[in-house]
Amino acid sequence: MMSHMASLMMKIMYPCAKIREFVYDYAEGTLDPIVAMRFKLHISMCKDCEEYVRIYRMTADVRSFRKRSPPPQEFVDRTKAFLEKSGIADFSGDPGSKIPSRYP
Amino acid sequence: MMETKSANPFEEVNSKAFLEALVGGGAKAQKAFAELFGATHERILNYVRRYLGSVDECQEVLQETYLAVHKGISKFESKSKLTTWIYSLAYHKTCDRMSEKDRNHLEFNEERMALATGESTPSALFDDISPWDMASDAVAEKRRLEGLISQAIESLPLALRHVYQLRDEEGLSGEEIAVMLGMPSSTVRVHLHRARNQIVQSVQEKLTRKAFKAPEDFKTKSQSAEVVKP
Repeated sequence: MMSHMASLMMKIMYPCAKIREFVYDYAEGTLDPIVAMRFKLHISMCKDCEEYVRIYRMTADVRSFRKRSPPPQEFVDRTKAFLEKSGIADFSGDPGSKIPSRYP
Repeated sequence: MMETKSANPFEEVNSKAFLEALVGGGAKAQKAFAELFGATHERILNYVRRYLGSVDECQEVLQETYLAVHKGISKFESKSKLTTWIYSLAYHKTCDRMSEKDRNHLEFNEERMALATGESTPSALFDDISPWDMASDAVAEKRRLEGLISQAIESLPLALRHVYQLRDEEGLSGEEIAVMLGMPSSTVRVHLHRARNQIVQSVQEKLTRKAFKAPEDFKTKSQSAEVVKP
């Protein structure tokens, strides 16, 4: 016979469909604390949902592994030359990516 | 020597004073434009090259974007951040370029072919080859997942992909994307959730060779383990 605790757990346990419903807010960190607790309880006990949430969070955290890399200097120089030739930018005394403090 | 700030230049170009310098005309505006380019081009280029297959195309779209910035800056009404507006211009220029390519199905490009065959990802256009290292199984597994996620992103429908990349890769807020793409914030949220779900589904299909389906009801870890036991 199911113990009282197990029975209570089953009552507060979300069905898997709820995990899909709440995963967006979970990944965004905007889930209500009580809902988050029930959410975590579910994924701690459900292998499929744990896997689903793990990959969903990686997907939302894509910036951590799809790093930006600076373009080759030659690429940047060509674009700068084009903008200078068009008369819309002056790169003499180029500050690079820093903005001078005259713009508060 | 001119003092420089060490804070985030990408955000600093959104100041009112900087915008005034940009629209002021003359040599000061040309200097400011050079500074704007310096502060923003890496992020804009990063966004553009996720969609385009060659360095030449990226170069052209980047040039077109900054020409459009120059042309439109006097009419910029500060309804959004300047950087969001530049993203918006880059988005439209990229879409234009992709539409042109759709009309020309015979165009062959080795880099796009490499992408299509999974030999490369767009980010590899400028990336150095990663050095050899002796990764643990966990790290190798993580990298495998990261690779599958990258592939799945390229396969997203464009409407979802734009929202996903602007939000999760470029870090724009939902409100900024809503303004930029002219859609309600609620639609941005729905698109983002769908995009992430499609990526997860694609990854899981590749991992398990079958479509992931949310189970009818929760299954304990021990029950799951029993299923796979012979």
